[in-house]
Amino acid sequence: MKRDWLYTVLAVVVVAAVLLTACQPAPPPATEAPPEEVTEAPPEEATEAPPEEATEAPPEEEALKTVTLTFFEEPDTLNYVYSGMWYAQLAMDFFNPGLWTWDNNLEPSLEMAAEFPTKGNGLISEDGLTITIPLNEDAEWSDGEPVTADDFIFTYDMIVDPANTVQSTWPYAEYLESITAPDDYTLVLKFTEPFAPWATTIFQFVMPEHVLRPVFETEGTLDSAEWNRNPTVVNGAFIVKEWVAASHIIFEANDNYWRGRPTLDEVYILIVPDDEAQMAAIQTGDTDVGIFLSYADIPTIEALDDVDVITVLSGYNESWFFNLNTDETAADNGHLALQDVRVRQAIAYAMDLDAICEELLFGGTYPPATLWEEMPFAYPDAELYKYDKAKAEALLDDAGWVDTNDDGTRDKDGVELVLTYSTTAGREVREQTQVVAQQYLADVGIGIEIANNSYDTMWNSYGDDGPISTGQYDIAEWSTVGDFPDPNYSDWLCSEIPSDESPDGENWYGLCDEELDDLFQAQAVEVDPDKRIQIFHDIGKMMSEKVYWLGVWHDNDVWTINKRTSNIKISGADPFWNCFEWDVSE
Amino acid sequence: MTRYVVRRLLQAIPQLLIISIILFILVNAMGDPLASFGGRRRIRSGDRERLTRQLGLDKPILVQYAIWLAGNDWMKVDVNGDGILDEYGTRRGVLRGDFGKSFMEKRPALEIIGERVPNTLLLMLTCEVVILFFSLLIGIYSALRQYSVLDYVFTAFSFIGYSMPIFWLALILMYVFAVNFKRWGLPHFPTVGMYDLAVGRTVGQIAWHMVLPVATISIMSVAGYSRYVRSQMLEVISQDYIRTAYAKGLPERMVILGHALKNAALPLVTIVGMDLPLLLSGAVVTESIFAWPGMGRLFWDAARDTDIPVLMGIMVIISILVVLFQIITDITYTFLDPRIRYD
Repeated sequence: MKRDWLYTVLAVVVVAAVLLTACQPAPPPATEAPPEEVTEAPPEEATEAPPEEATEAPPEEEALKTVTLTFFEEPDTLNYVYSGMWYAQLAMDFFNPGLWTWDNNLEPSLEMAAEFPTKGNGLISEDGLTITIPLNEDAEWSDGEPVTADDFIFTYDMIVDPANTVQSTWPYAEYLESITAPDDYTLVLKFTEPFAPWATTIFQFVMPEHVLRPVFETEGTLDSAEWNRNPTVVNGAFIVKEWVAASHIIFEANDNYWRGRPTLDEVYILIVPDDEAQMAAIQTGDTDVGIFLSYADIPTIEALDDVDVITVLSGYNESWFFNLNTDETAADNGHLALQDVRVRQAIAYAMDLDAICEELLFGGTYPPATLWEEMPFAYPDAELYKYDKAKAEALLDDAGWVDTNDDGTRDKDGVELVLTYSTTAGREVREQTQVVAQQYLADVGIGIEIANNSYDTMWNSYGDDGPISTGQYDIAEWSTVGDFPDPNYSDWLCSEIPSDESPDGENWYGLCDEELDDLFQAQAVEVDPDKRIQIFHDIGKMMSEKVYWLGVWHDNDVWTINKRTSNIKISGADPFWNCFEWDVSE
Repeated sequence: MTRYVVRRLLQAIPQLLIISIILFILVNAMGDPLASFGGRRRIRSGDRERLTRQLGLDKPILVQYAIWLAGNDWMKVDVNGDGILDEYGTRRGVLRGDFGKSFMEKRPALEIIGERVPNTLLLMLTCEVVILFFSLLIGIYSALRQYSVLDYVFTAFSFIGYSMPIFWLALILMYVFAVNFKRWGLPHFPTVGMYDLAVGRTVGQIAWHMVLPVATISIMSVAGYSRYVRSQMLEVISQDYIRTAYAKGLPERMVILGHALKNAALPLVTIVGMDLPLLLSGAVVTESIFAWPGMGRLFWDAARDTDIPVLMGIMVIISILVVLFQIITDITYTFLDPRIRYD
């Protein structure tokens, strides 16, 4: 009988567990609204709907139409000027569009602009210095105030005002000479020099002057504005209803959106900082849209009946960069052998990149030939260095790198051909690639020493003794992108090589090829799209032939979409550009 | 006793000052706070230069520490980078309750920390109650029924539980009780979050969403604590005064709970006393996997982004609590063991 108390407690625990399971909270209201009513409304109809009709809230008895997304990281703010975080910009797609967004074909989809400027329609001046943008007169803030040119001018003023700790003043401070408004619905931008990437970098968002100017005038800065976390007055398809830190963000339909009320009632963003947990949520249907998954997840997702997996062009390419710095004053120059193009070509031939994509990335992608893969700027005849061990060995022999001391590694003038290969520690597929590359290169007599860096130190600047920015590598690997969907890159310029005098330089490869430098400078000021494409073809040709860069895999983003949703068309530039027409079918 | 407490509190001031200096130096050595400012892209050189100045990172580390401690509203700062001191700063410093603003969120660090504290306390206090309840239950039973079948079973499970990596245990529980239970058509637990957003923040929802994270943390800790209780109880129940208690006819429940457990609990009080302030730091792994919006995740995110004001805020608050709870623990001894006197 002494054990009675124990049995009693155990019985209580078991009964409690059973009751807890039985008392599972009721599932969320099913989204049972007839699909016919919601799926047939094309965006054009929604645009033309009179505001009176558009502002009608759904009857209370109807179940809400909702879509749930999972974000791996929580946005740091909901004010575009204060964040460079990708997830923050994703969230902003729902409530704060700028002049236009970029659709799933990477074409501009007009939002606050009424027309996209081109030389053909006369909105870009002949010298390329002045761009006139007519604004959308139907656009309103969610409180009913019109969106006008003054909002854009205020936004510009806030970006360049030193009282605001904005994430970036580029390109406004550097390239915009003036911004004026001849009337409420016309914006005139005057540049100091022709600026090619204007369409993807200028006014991707806009701030409500009538809400934020009083805050700025009172506090002297927008850094702590309530609107940054709780933007109740917005111009997008949805309004921020609730943001619970580290938990979720809820968006609700904006009745004053210029296209009319969006089809969904609410959008939920769950913050799930663990990729395995996100996968579990995808499998259970706890999330409808899974974001930024790895290629290794694709087989698991493809086995699910109710989930589609898609890859979206993001402009990123997993890349090898060579340390080509020869400046005697540079902190740490690359291996001497890398100065010889034949050695770089040999490295490219020695690597079976197709096999790496097939085995390590489950065939989900392929090695890119240029930095502008799948874009019109990609040089069509860029040489893809197919695996050819014999060719690699011949090139190394030709360059004078032979194994004279029979230690298995080639050498020249007493210098062993051993390269330091660096990437971010902890990302499994990168570390697997390093091991495979080590084997491929060993096969042709090139030694590899792996020296990885934690994510938080890898990107330290030259001034902070960053391992890459100070050149403490021979080969470095990471995924890179320019001003996608614009092809501009600024980090290949000679002037961007970091030094004691210029510690913030972005050209961490130490490459200064004057011909390439001229081409990169020329593309940055060429506003004729066709001429610019030709310049990029010349750049691609040179980078390919001289192997200044080697693409390891084309790094498109992997998304999952639950089949209960419809009309979700993910864009690599503005993923949720068409959230106004998202729908759920069950 | 009062003099003792006052003396300990005064000793704590230089102790905390030294801790804060060490922490500040270590946090600043973690990495570049601007490294993650560019998101998926590297930050532009011009922006880096400007932000370094605006965030005060261009100053020597001792000056940065002095500003963190005492603020800069008594000195002029260069706002626009032209080398001219324009106006007085706005920071008041930790000594006046200003822990600075998060580099990432541009909000007061204390405000950010304050948002997470209730969620973490809810999760961790629940865990602590569950842990203590089951540890005492299993530990006492195992001690009283040493070498019984259940004692062996508890011992085996203790070793298994204690040696399991917590991330693995969390994912196994999630895949079994959420993913597979759903696949098998059984009632299943939710995978992530504090509550179902479509239903709302109700007591039932939060309790339901807490089951798996609480189970994860508790299994690990019960495994360790129960062994501790068992060994302490075994030592105590062999003492003469326990035999005396039995001899004078006290019922077993009174002997165990009133005499044995009270004495066996003294070392446990030390552990719990040390645990309580750390409860505030949350559970980094469990909170991340189950998407629980607590302090553990905040610490992890701040460490990833080298968000110095938030990191310093968390660690200094926990340091203060550790020092305070050490004093409280020492005082608690006097109630549990009459032989201990501080006067």
